[in-house]
Amino acid sequence: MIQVLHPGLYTSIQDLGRLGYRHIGVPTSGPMDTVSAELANALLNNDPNDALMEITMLGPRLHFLEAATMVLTGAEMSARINDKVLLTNKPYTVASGDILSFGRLRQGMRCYLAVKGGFSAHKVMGSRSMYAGITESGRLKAHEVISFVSSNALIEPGSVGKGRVSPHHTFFHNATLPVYKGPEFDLFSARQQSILTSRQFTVSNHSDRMGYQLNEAVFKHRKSMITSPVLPGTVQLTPAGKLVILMKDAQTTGGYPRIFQLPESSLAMVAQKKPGDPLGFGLL
Amino acid sequence: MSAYQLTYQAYGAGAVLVGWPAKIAPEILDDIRCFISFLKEASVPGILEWNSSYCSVLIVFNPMKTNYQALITLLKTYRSVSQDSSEIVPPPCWEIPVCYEPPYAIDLPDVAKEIGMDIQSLISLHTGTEYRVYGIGFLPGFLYLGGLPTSLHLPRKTMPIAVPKGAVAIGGQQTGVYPKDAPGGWHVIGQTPLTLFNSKESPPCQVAVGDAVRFREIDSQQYKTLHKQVEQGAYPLKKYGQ
Repeated sequence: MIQVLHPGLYTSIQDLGRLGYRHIGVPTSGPMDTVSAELANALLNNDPNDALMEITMLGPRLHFLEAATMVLTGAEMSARINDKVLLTNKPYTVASGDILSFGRLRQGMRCYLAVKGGFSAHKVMGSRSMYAGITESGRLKAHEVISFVSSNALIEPGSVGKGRVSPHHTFFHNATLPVYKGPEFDLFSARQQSILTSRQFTVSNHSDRMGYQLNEAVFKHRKSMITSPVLPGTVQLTPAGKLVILMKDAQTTGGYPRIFQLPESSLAMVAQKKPGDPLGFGLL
Repeated sequence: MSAYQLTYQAYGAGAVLVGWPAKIAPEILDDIRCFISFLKEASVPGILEWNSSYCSVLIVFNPMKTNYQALITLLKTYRSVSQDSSEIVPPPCWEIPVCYEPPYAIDLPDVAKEIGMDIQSLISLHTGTEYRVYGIGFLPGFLYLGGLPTSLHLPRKTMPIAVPKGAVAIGGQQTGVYPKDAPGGWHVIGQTPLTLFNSKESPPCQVAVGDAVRFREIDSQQYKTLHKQVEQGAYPLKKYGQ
């Protein structure tokens, strides 16, 4: 078990998401950065769908109420167990009573905390991913206690690797995201298409688990369309010329032209960008 | 042999977008219903899920188990042999009780003034129509209902406001029901005591795309009684006329 002493800015439990309910308007949810989330589970020999904690920008303060083997991946957030500095991408064994805290954000935006066997948040509609309206709350609150799935969340001493997978720096700093054309890309002129694929944008403050809005407007347009399905990774172009990248908690239908579709690997890179970070799109 | 010529487009690396002619029409909705019932029954290996809206269906697949070419070949084969949508079992029609009285109908007086109609005629028009579910989206369980009489068409508000769970609203050419408290830009003309989406139930939403819906007027006393029954789990969603 782990107790939330302070929840941080936005901390939630996520497994790979809620599949099979898009037809009734339920978003997929799941980790924003699946690359880092899958790495966390892999480093502990967990199942890829085991639930982990997604920590955003300002980390929580967590109290381990039992011993566990844990790992952090994704953003570098100056994590410590008690006073000991922790590295990302390296499993650690912590004792009952240990306090996990976070400090200054050094790289990225989202950090993943996995424990051996995963967190045991309540499953709703086949998934432990938190999403307000489906689960009780969309995020963890102060004083909340989360159990571990495994009655023994420890990897045997001696079996915990001493090595560390080095963080992939281009993953955090690559500003040009590989993308597919979206269904409405070809409705725009060659000049407009070249603007969309060559312009540099920056991430706006209106960026969360539902969507990332970009600051710079490209061109106004009047291409209206009948509301149609969208997916996480769909990039919409609003009539005012602003781009919105739909993220894991995005709604399932939309009425703006869909100019790009990001593959999962590009979506993971977006999830590590914070307001002000540069970003552009390159066709695959 | 189906009447509509469909378009197939790759949507990223793991989805196919199937398109019907770009218009809002009950005949297209019937054909989409037919298409979805095939997806359900055929349980094609590799297909993970799908959703539809007005004139398109998005099919999400697992690229490790199938691929775009294999999938569209299969879908085209199905289209070449599928029956006419008129031969499919007609959809159920659900009845949604609505209270059009204050405090449940916050925008009703303004809407009546705006379209130049007295409140009772507006209610009769809204309850006298059979609607179809053209899509479910925006929020889990939010029904996009088409078939709103032309005289009730009204542009959406310019700024969204806080709308309560159960609010029955009109916006543009559509009407809909808010499954939970949410910001919304449609005009609220009433409220239903029913819960149309409950993540703890299976299925969480009984209404499907293609189904029909009718509203039935209730007074505020009936609203309170039904609301109590709904909270105790004693009032299920009923079919119209039952």
